[in-house]
Amino acid sequence: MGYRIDLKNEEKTAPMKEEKVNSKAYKILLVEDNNLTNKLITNILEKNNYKVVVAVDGLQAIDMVETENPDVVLTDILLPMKNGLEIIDFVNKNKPDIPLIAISGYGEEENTVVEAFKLGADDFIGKPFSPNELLARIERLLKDRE
Amino acid sequence: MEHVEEITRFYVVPILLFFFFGFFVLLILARFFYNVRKKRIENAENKIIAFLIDNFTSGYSIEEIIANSKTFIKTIPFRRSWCKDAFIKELIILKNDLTNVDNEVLQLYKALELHKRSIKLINYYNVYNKRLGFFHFQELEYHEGLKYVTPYLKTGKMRLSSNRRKQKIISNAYITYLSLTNKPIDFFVNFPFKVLEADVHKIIDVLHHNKTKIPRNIEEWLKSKNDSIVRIGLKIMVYHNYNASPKLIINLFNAENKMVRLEAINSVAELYMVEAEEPLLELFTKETSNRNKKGISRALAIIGSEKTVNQFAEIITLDKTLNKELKLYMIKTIEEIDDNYFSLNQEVFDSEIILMRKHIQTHNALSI
Amino acid sequence: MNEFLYQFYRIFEIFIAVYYGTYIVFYFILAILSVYAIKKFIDNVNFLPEKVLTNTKYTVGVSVIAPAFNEETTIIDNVNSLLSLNYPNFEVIIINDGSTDGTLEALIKEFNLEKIDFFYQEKIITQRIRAHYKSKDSVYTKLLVVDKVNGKSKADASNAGINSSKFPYFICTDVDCILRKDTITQLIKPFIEETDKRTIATGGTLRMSNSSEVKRGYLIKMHFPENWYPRFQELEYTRSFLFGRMAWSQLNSLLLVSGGLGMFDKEIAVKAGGYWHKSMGEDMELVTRMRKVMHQRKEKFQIKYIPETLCWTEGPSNRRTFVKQRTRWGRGLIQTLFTHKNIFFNPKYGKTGFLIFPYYFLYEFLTPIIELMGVIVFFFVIPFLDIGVDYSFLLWISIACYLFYISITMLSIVIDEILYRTYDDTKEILTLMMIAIVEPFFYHPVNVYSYLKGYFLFLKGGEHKWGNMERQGFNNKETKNN
Repeated sequence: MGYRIDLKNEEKTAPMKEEKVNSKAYKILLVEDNNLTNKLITNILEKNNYKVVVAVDGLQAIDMVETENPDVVLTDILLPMKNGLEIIDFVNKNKPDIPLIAISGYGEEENTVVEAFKLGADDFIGKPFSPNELLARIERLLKDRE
Repeated sequence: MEHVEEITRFYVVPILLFFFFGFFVLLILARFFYNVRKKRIENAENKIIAFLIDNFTSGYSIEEIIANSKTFIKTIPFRRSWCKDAFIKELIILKNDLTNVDNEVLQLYKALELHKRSIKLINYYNVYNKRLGFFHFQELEYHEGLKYVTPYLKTGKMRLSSNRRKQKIISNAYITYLSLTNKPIDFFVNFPFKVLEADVHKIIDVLHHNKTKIPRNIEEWLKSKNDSIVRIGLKIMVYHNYNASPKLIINLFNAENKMVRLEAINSVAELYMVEAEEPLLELFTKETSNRNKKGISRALAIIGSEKTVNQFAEIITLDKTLNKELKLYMIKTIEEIDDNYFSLNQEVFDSEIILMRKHIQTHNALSI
Repeated sequence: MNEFLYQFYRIFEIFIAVYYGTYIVFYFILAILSVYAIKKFIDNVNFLPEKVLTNTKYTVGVSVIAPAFNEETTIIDNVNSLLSLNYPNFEVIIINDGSTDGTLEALIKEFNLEKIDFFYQEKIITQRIRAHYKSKDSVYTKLLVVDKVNGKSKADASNAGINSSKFPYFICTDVDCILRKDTITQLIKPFIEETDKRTIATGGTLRMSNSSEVKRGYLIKMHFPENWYPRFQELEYTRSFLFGRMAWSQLNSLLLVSGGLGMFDKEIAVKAGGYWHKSMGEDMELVTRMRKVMHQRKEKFQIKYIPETLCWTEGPSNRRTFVKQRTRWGRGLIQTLFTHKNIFFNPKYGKTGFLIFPYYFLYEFLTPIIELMGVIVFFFVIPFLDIGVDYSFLLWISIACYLFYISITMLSIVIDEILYRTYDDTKEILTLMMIAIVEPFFYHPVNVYSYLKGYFLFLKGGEHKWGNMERQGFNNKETKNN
């Protein structure tokens, strides 16, 4: 609950098209099983010059962490097969330098969030989210890594 | 005998054959139509998703979105009810995904007259559809929909076959009403049935998502004759951190229903009412339900003091017939209040207590 | 002699007519009930959205219990799969039932386990427990491994799991079963959606995983089995789960919650004495005893069945293992009926005594025997009678029976298709139908043979072995009323 950041007063704008910070296209692995959410995030990210690869279940995600070697992993918590927490644990154990953002669904328990951080998630974003916030968080993580 | 043979031969066998081939044809048809339908639905859904994403992430104003949507719906079989349902479904997902779109989503819902579809669903006899309609209102926060929900709050007005059916519809109607109304939820105190465990989950869910105000008559809830209302009242108090009436809650320790007692026990702990320690210890000695005793033990772990430690230590050393699981809880409580107690008084405790203490330390959680 | 045979034949004929007449009427009623129950289930699926249940911190805890015996090669994947069930409050208890291979070592290594001081309460008496293990890693806090001396039965291992569990409900499964992610949410629903009756057990549908795509303990895609025996079983499961059990659930008269997947109220299960380690059909036997406990307490209760495929299991893939399994089932059936014979028409046991047990006796237990008698009469009695037997009459009756049987099967396939569309491939569904047509000729006789063999073995085993069946541990003192 406390994690949902209230941006009610923020001015409504389209995601920051003008600021193209990422000259070389970073690759983002998005793990999300809902069709709309999946396309929504992909759309937002692609508009901002990220390359997006998508996994729709936990097992696929773990394979793709290995094969695709993404720059950032963006994962939902509730997923078919393996869940997001297991993906976080896997990434943290096997590819500790890939930054990872957990996305948590509408009203998921605080425990999940705490658990996600414990397992090594670098950041967290709750639904509903604002596109600008999502982009800002990804950028910060990429900057931190460099 | 021949009679039987004739009946079998000329009636039974043909009828069974008819059934067999009937089922066969039904199977093939079901599969065929499903495939056709599936493709159509998937097509429409993908178009709807693409449209929504494009319109809601490109900085259009709501007027522009509505104008766009009017042309867009001509490209999908929008007249069909499944298509409308799909549109509403995706709207709800979008609303749950993005901040700042609640109002736009609702306006689009109204502009495309999708609320009429939801109303139609509510008017169906089938309970699945009714609930789906309620769900649309609830998720999209369509406050004008309240008047379609209100009739279902009363038992008398419905033409429904069975009481159970009624009860399950009323339950959903109450939840929807709860999530839509701006007024305090005082009316809930009149809920006509026993509230199911499942309802409690739903009510808590609504409380979490809609910043519902605490009912003004919340103290009345605790006096309700309907035990489940008392329990929910307590849950709501806990949710709103309403700690103005410790006496009323402590009084419920004497309730006849053990579930009510348990809820009261949990509430004093969650509301951190230290004044409840003594009454809890007193209740502990006369309580008959083991589950409640465990509850008391857990509550005292939070609000207990030296007094609890002493009383519990005495019980666990002297009472040889004590239920083992309860004993585990009591040891945990002592440990939580005073983590030095066992190390300082080692000689008093037998090997079982020492093993139990280790069990708690390594196999951390206990549960209800 | 001839006179005697003739009289026998006449009586047998009348008996069969009455028997099958009632059988068909019964099945017809069950078919209607089943369809009604499924409709009701579908109407109610959105009563409690899953989201609500998985997000709250008030959900009641569930222990998932899975015994393992020599499963070294698959155990890691399977435990991983169990740990990723989607439910906010559960634990997974793996019982290493004295494996002689490296099962325990594999678990210790993979999950970083260490021995813990566990205060073990032997509410149900089992073989000796060697140790309890928990993981040092925080991802695996849900996992508890119990190492015990082999007790030669799944029942004994499951009981050790029940004793070690900390939650008020438990799911009993096999380590090689693949569970759907929402299994716990589905099975817990009846426990929290009911007011006036206490739910004591729930069960869900099982399917064959034999030819399905399985990857690291997860089911990727469902396929129709390729071997004959799994194919027949798949058909049989579809029919008996969707069709029979749904109807029995509607009558609140389920006697069998399958050993592959079932959720139980721990208090009642322990009160009933847990699984009986000498039983050949411990799952049915446990439910029987739980029903007894509830009847004795005079408390209203229900056992619910959920028409959703929640579990995939590997079925016997050849005749030898199949016959072995069914012989065991046959033995379990006769053993349960025999052990609990005092239930029959005992007013104390209400529905269980007047409906369920008589039904099981007449239409489950007796059927193989009557079928055997039919064969004997046809080949060894009729030829010795002088009277002209009306073969055309027999033929038409047989055709009617056959058609009735396959129509029932077809109905269950149709229900399955309309509701779940288990198979993507149209070819697979056509094969299933072909299987339904030939089943009575090939599969059914083997089944009957196995059951008869089971009965025979039970009777041969004699009283001395099965005499003192109510173990001491069954009437436990530890369980106090909550």
